[in-house]
Amino acid sequence: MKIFWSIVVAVVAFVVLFMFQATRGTATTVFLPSKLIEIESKSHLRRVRVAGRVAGDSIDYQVEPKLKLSFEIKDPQGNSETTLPVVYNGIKPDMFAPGRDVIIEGEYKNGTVYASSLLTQCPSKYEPPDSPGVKRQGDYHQKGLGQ
Amino acid sequence: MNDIGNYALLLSWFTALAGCLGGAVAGLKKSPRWLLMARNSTILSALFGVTALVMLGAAFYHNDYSNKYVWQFSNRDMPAVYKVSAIWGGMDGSMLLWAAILTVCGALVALRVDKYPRLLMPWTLAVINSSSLFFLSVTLFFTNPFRYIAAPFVPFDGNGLNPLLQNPFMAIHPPTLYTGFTMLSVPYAFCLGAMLSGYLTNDWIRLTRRWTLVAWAFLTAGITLGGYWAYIELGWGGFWAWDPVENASFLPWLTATAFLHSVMVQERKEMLKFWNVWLVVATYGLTVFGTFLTRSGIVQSVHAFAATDIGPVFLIYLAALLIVTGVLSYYRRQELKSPRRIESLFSREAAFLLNNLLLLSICFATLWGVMFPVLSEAVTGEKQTVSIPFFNSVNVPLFLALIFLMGIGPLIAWRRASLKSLRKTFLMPFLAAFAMAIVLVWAGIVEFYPVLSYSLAFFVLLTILGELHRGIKVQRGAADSRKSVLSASVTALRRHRIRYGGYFVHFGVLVMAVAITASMAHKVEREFVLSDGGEYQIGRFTLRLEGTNELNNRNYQGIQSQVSVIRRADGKKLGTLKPELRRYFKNDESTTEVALMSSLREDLYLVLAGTDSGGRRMAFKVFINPLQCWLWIGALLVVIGTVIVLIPRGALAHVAVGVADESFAAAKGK
Repeated sequence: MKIFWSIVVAVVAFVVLFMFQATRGTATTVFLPSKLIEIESKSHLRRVRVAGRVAGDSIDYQVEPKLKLSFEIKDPQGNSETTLPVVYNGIKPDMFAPGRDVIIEGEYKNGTVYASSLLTQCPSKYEPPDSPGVKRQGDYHQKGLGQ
Repeated sequence: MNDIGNYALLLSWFTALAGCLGGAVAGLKKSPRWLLMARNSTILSALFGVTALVMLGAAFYHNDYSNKYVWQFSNRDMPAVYKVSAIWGGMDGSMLLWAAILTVCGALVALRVDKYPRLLMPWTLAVINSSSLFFLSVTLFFTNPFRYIAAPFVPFDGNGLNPLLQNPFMAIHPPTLYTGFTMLSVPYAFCLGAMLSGYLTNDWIRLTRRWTLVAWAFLTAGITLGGYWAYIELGWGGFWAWDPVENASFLPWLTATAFLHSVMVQERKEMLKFWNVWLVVATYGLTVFGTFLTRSGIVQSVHAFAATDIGPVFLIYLAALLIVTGVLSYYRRQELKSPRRIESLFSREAAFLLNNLLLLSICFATLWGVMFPVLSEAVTGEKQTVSIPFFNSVNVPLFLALIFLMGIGPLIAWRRASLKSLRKTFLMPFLAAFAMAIVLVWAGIVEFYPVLSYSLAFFVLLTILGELHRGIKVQRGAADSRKSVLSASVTALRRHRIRYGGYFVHFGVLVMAVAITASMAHKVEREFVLSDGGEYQIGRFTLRLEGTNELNNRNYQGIQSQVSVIRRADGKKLGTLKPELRRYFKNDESTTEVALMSSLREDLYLVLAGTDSGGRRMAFKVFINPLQCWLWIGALLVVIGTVIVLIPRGALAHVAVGVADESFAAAKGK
């Protein structure tokens, strides 16, 4: 048993230490857009992760001279209408559209988030915008009777 | 169809309940009649479960939009294959698929009830039905895919499937993965069955070994298919992002892999009994936990299912699972005691234990990373996350240690290895690997991890080849010395099919490890903009934009660029890449379609990123992924190796003897 437990203890101790180190080095706080703007004054340059919803009509996608996708995000839920500008130098991800929830990681500088990664929440999460029979009825109507 | 499906589901639920109770009564009363009843109920449950699944498929196929789920995930213009694969496009159908496959696994066990130990079976059937019962309950009461649409009339067309899921690999990835997941409930059922019945010989382990292997092969294939889908569909040039959904499938794979190894120690040495019980239950628990994770909305994921309220149900089930196992393993603690101890640090037992600990460490670190947002919010009140760098920095060294052990474990002696045997087996491969490292550094690869990874893979490869060489030598020495090398190797392979199958799997893993290292260390990515006729040079290639045309399809419209790939060295045209940018009419979503030129050396991966405001100049992103296709080849080798191990005893004898005789004759003729 002595060997059994010494192997177990050694591996566990090593891994825990290693994990602790890695967590401290890479953990990033997740903010809501409104929260980030609220605490802006306290810090000017920091690595952040923001979870927000793409605000309508704010998307601008340029391919020259560099790929540049700029848009604004707001809180996914709640009434806060404050928007946070985001600049991302990269391809507009698949399924990126107004109203989509996104997770952005990057640097927060002068009120703008310069994203190094931009993830659009989606694939399997694919729900209709509203429950059937409510707002989309008009939609059926056009399709159903028009054809 | 809705009603038939719903009733079939209900009947499946009742028969699973009957199977569960019948099994328990049979176990308590030791009654063959009750066992027969449990057996038949289990089989019926599978028939009804499959009927329900087929009914949902039929509803999709016939565009039955009175079904809310069908309306949500299908539309008329979708190709038939995607209509059927839309069954698992959402939460409700995916749960039904899960439950249906699970009942089939139960039936497969029930059909062979006479071949298994009589004492063990009643409780095993009870446990596997309890598992079916749980998943059927969730499907029936929480995520029923047979609900009618709440509209005043049946809509003419459906909402449509997410374009990203309209990919052939999404048609096979989920069923493959789910088959792997659900099959892991069989070893779990045998394990709990053994503890409930007190029939705690090594039988349950021996009997479930094949099940675990099949499950493991499916799981490996399913995870890789998922990675392949991400690679060709998502357009970011990678295949694995440590996303919670991926991690959820990875966790049980790790514990199942650990179990496959520690089983050998129990079979040979009757050690690690207690350990194995918990490993099996943990594996099953992690499949349930993964379902919970991806469907409860507790962690944010790029591709999670919609958040629902089924979380608590899963948590209660998991808690019950842990409590039952805890109580049982305490109650049976005497029978689970191992008669032997590990005698030396340099022994196969110790190597296998270390392998298990490393796999569990990777599992724990991954779980920690997934749950970190929840944990940090609970403890500090501030939500924090970790992402890819965390997982890589912790798991890469652990995986490298595991690869090292892959060279050691299968060759080191049981009980206690002598210094002499260690030197004989490992010194040469070790020195050769060291030389390899020097060559790599000399060739310009100076990063620590890639050099270590390639050298370790080389080390393991040499140990495998050395073992093969010894096996063949023994065969040639044992019989006729004139025996040809081919015939000797065939005999060796046949006699030790399982062992060599294992080496084959290890070889596949090595190939994957090298491919993953290459993609992590030497990937190149660039962005560029071209007008018609413009050229861009990357690596060995010149890319020339020949032109762009418009696409019109029933489902989408878009643009497609033709980009010639020219080899820089001699100006030879290697082919044309046609990346697309599509805009789907449904929900107004745009997606990119990657264009890929794959060779054994590297993948050229081209994404059409967009157009400038005038629509004349095209923006591209290009990746060069070295050795990428070896990742898929390696995974295929792993699955083939598993199949070799699984071939029933004797099935190969005929073929092998034939080959051996022929080659023998050929050798004589010389």
